[in-house]
Amino acid sequence: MFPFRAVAGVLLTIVGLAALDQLLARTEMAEVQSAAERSWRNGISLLNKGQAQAALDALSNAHALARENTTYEVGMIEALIAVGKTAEADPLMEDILQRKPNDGDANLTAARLKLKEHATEEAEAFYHRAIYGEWKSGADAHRRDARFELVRLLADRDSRQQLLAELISLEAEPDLDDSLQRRIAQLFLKADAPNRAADVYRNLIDKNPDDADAYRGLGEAELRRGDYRAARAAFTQVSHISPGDDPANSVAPRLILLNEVIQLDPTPRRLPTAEKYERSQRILALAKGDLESLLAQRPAAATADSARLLKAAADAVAAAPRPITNELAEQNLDLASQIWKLRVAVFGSSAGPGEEALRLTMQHLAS
Amino acid sequence: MPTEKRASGGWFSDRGDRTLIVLSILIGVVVGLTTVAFMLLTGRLAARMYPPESAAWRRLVVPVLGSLVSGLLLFRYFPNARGSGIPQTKFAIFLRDGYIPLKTALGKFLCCSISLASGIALGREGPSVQIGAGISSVIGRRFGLSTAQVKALVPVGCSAALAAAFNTPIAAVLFSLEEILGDMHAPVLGSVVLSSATSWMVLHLLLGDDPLFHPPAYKLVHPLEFGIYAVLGIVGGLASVCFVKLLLRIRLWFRKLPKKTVWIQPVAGGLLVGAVGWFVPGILGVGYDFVDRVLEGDVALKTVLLMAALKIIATPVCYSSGNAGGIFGPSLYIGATTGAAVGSIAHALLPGVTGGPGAYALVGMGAAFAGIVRTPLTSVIMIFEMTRDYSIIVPLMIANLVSFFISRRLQPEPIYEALALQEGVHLPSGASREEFAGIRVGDILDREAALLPEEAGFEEAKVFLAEKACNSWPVGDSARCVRGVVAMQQIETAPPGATLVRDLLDGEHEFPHVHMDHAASQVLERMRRRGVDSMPVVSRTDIHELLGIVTLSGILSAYKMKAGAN
Repeated sequence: MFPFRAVAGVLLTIVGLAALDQLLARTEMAEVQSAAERSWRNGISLLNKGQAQAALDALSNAHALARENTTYEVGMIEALIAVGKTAEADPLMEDILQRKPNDGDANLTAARLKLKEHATEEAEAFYHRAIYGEWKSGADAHRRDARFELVRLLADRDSRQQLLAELISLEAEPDLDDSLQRRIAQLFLKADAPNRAADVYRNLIDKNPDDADAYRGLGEAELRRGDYRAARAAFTQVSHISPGDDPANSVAPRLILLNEVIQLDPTPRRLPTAEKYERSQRILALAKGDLESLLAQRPAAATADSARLLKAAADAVAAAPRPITNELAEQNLDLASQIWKLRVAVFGSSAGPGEEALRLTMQHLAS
Repeated sequence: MPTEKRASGGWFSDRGDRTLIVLSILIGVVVGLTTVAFMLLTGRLAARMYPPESAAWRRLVVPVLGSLVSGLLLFRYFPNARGSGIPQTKFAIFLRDGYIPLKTALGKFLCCSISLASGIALGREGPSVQIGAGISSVIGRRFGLSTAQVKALVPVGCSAALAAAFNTPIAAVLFSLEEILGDMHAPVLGSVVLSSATSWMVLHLLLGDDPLFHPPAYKLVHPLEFGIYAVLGIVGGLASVCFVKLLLRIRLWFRKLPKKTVWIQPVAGGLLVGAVGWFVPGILGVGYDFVDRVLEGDVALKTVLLMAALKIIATPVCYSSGNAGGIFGPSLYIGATTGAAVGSIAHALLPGVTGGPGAYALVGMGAAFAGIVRTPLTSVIMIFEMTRDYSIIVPLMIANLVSFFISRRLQPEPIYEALALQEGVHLPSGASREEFAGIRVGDILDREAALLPEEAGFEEAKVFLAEKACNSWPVGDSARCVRGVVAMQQIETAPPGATLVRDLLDGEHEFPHVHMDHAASQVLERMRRRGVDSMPVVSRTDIHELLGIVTLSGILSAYKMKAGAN
């Protein structure tokens, strides 16, 4: 006889056990995931506070509880990088990237890891993959942050062309807030693109005409462009908006320098010939004094050429020609340019605070 | 002996081996579901007993209370649910025809859940095996199977339980054959495989494909590492011997205590674990989380050495004091920590040619398992299945075999046999069965024995059989061509008209016979089935060509001689 009762009993047991298992499995999953998330949040908070080792413990725990969660694993790798365990982070990173090669978060962490390992070219590649990778939420913000990190790397490496390319992409993004625009403008200056920096600052000033920082940035950008009058106007505006600026942020030294440069500038239209000659004499005297003081510090650098130029300059400065002509002024400026060129060739172009006006003037004359 | 009524001649019983296939699948499902429930329940209970950032006093109080409650339950209601479950399952197979009451399986489930969740330093796999064996025994009986069929189902339940508990279906099959049955050629192989696979599928359906451990990818850095793995085998073997000897000694001590203290004895284990756990929480419970950290190579040398030493002490006390729980998990724990210690030292001394401590921890797990449980094949396959990494096989084989041989040399009796002996039970060891299985027909046949002539009359045949002291004999012609086997019973119940032995032969049917390469055990089985006590040994190319005759008395003499020699 077929054992109906036994079969029914076993089938009922299976159904009962399956239900119990489902219930227990769901309970476990919910509890474990909740514990993992708690641990992850704690770890990220500790990481942000700079407590890397404690963060690593918490994030490792989160990863151990929910191994399939890439975010937790990436968090743990971040902590490993923070405590300097890059060798341990490497295989884990490799594993994630094999599983999720297009994951933006993973690629960003890989870039940071490579940066820590001083593999900057690889880091750059991972930053690009992070920028164009997949993000679970807030993709635009994450991509922007990744691009900013890349931009910082490029700025540090002084890769101006690449930096400029990334900044142009960043600038084109919609809904950039003022602080981001300010950072972009600063980085444009770093990328040797003062025109673009000036445009961004002007944008900011249009939005807020009382933005002293924007005027200060604009002043710097105009200074870099060689438009000293525009720079002075911008710095003057800063002193009007916030007259009680603290000494560190004071624009007074900039204004003094710009006044000096403007008073030396021999190029304005309609400048009387006598005035132009006078300015050329001052420029020549400054160039001569600058080279003489440098040669005094390093006599071995003196050559026949330098001696000849200095003698010619001394003669020109001492001379009192009548009539004063434009040609004489141009001769002075030409001689000053030759001295400056020699000075740059032998001693470089960096100048102390006292020679900054001369440097800017010579730069302006050369442009 | 069992008191439950043994059903036989039932619907399933009458349908032979095909029903075993159906029942194996059914057992795989039920045992798989039960094992998953056991693991999940233990885990959830433990999570409630030790909430995150709970006070240190819990680590002392909870194991004591857990061992007290489970000790009382074991004493009053479930006396057979003590210990790991492996020896008890073997008792059931070899002494009780596969009989395990439902009460024992339920008791094991309940008591182990309580003791393991409370932090007792024992494992969950051994108990799972006994629960699985119990379920299969109960199902077999409820389905009206014969005693032999119920007995055959017990290892089926064992393999299903282990496949789900360790997530290692192949190792589960091997363990059932290698340790539970002690016979790698057992006829239940198909059923064992089927139940293991079914149970594994149930596990995957419920919990997904998450392995028990998460070791980093294994990599052999330099061939010199093979030598270090051999050293690891030595260390693993020595650690295994320490563990086993300590466990047996402590258990013997506990057994000498007055019987009336049995209910309170488990508290000794709880107290020790609690006191240690107050300062070192990693010692509590099965400890797989800690093993996972060790496998990641994330634990300092001092810590792994401390944890290995503490586990080698804590588990024997917990087990010997009568707590419910197994030693598989602790074996892996001890192996991982000793392996990591060897790996850390090797890496510090030879950083260029060695991998991290995690790799050694992994191989150490196998080495300790081989040394403690004494199943070298199962241990290799188990770790291989856990890592799913083929490149670990050779290091594992080296370390496991070294550990196995050292353990066998210094502790001749395997742990489960020694535990059974302490109970006064002499189980047949796998080795002894192998020795007897080693007797072949070719070693014991009588090549010169004469056939009973087919032309002989019944009286002549009776005299012939009497001379041979057998109740049956092979029949043939003068050219030693075998025609069949005739038994005394056939002669005595010969149909009217039959006068010669030839008249009793049925030329169309295959007669009982064996071949030279058959094992003596197979001959005995055939003799039992055909009701004869002698058989012709014939050629494999022509069954009429006589090579000799084998008799029951000859086989028994051979066994006696072998036993005497040993």
